[in-house]
Amino acid sequence: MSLREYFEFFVTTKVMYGENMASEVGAEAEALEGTKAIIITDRGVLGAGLVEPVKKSLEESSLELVEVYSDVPVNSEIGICKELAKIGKTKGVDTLVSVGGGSVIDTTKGANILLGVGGDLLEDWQGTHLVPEPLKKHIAIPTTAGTGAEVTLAAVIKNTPTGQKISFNSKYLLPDVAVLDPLLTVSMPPHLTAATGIDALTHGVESYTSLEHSPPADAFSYYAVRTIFENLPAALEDGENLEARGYMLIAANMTGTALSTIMSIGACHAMAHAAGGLSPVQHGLANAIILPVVMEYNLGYCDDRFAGLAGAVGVDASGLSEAETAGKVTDRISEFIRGFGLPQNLKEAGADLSLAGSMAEEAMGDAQIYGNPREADYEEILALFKGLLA
Amino acid sequence: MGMVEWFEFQVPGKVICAEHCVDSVGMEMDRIGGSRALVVTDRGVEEAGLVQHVIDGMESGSGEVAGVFDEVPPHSEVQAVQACCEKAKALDADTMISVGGGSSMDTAKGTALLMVEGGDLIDHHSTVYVPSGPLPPHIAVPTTSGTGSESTCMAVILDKAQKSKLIFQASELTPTLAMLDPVMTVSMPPLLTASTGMDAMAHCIEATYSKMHQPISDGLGLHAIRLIAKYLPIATQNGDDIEARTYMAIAANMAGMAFTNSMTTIGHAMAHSLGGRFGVPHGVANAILLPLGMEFNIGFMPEEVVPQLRMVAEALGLDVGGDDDVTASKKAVEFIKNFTAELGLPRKLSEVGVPEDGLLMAAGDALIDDSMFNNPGDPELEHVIDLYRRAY
Repeated sequence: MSLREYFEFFVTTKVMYGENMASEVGAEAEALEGTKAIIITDRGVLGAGLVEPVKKSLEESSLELVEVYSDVPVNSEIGICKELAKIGKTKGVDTLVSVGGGSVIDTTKGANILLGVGGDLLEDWQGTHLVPEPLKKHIAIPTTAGTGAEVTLAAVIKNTPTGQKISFNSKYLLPDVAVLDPLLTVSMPPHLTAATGIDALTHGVESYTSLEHSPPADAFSYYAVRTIFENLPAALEDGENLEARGYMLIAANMTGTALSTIMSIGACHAMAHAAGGLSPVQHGLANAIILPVVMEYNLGYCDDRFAGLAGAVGVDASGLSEAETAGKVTDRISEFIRGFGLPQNLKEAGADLSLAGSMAEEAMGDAQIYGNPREADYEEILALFKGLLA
Repeated sequence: MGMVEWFEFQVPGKVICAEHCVDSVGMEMDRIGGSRALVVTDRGVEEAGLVQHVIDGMESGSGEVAGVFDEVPPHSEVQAVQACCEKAKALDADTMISVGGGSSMDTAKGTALLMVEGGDLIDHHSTVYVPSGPLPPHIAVPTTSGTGSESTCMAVILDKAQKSKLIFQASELTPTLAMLDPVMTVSMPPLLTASTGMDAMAHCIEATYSKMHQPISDGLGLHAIRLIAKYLPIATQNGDDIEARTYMAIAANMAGMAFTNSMTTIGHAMAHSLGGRFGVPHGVANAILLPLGMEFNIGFMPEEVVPQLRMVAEALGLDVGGDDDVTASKKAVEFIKNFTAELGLPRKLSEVGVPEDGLLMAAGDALIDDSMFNNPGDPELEHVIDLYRRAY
């Protein structure tokens, strides 16, 4: 096992798990000494009735619920952050409660930057560790399993005019509380369950093979990968299987913690960000399509790391060399992903071949690429994109 | 996997791990807003030159060491905490820097508490301690691997008069920053390396099957088990192996993160009372009691415990693919017994100064220890006495 010279672990979010835990949000907001709350969500989540228990809980608390904002789009957007910050400022909001997937949670983080320290998101705060001080309180409640955004110190937000996905990284973006309530994930239809589940799997796998992996991150990634393998099929088979839904939510949360410990996870994420910025492909789906291709690209460069995942993915490594085990592990993961019937290339998912060049350029400029075990170059990434867009 | 109904998980402090990171302690103190530090340590650590590393490291920042309290006893004690607090106040210290094992770190935690609450420490004893105000920042620098106390929300402090160990618990007691520097652990002699390493192992294993076990702690604990199984023998045999020392430092820390959220069980309860009554070092007691506690629980509460212990067996590297959970669990027990013996640790309580006629009293103490309440089912006095006898 390789050990980095220096690593940190600093994920202070309080994670609360339980059926109906959404009804504890009011109490948690009180404990955070909040006075005015806003719920931030999207139409789909609102329409599915998932905001109800959270709304009720806040209304019954000592806080004033000033608004339920449900206009967050599929990919979080800078303009929405600005709008939210304006509402928050006007109404004196000190507690943000996000209910939804990664877009909703990241939009809330973006709005929180503006509410907390003002300025302009693009000009002042994009990048790493630039936010100088604590922001408003944030309780994050995921309804997918998921992005793990409820425990990450990153927000990835689209700048619509350029199609670029902008990253903001700061410990002050970590939500104060993450509420994991499996009841809120039951209504996810199969394709979303699969896409977000594989998003979590990708986080786990890439965190494990990233050049920046560390023992605490490994602990979270390994267990999450294993848990996803053991529970995603069951969650897909029966959306009401609360045990499977629960484990998926926890696994996604654990991959979020791993992500928070690693600045840069790898080429798959860099490429997925690029694809998601320049085309309508949803993040989880982009990861599901790209991971098998990136794993193959990385074979031979981090075989010890792939081999380390054997136990998590059910590969018996006895009698095999490290390279052989690595090959079996990556095959197993690809087979697992492809078994869910999702689109297998970006073209099928709605992206055009003409975008290959821009996507490759975006990916090479995304900070996530630095953690890739194999040093990527533009031509190689372009070739990978062309293969996925043909 | 049997799903738990609900749980909470939090690690409120920051952890840094790097060789020579202690050289930056001054800078780190600046970051957390401290300026005058009281170093809390014991004479052994001081004589090993480890406190000097910390004092030298202050040069990386703008603050200073206001003074050193080096009277931490082997088990953190109420009187020592009171004395430490008086010193902190006299020196106008605003930051604790603990350098040492669990005793030093817990003494510093107790001191931080007392600096805010005043009066007698015993009066504030609670496992749901709510601070009256913000606690002074605390940088913990462990020199053993270890108790994990640098990342836990608990302070275990001996009430010498009652000969019982008091547990203070609050997330605010978690040190602000844990600095894991393998260089600080290199001078640990083999038996100390082994015994503190087994304390870490016990934290992990007990946390997997405590009443409060949960998946996130499991993830941490199981990975720490993998690391301890691999690196403790190396660190014990060759104390200068920096890689092994680093892995042990982070593993013990992860074990701390696991049990601060999921608690420990009968083994720890019994170890606490032996420490309180007879001064048996914590790691030594746990090394003896861990496999027996596992064995007891396999028989006492199998459905709760064996699925978890199977995962422990896998993490230990045992081949249990074709075994049922009970067999896998028993293999884990055997492995731990042999592992401990091979590290050169005592296997029986009779070898470590426990008087046979003291077992009954120890059992009584253990029964009311907080860790006992987290053991699945509700062990009774007869179970505990029987277990002490088996360990004797």
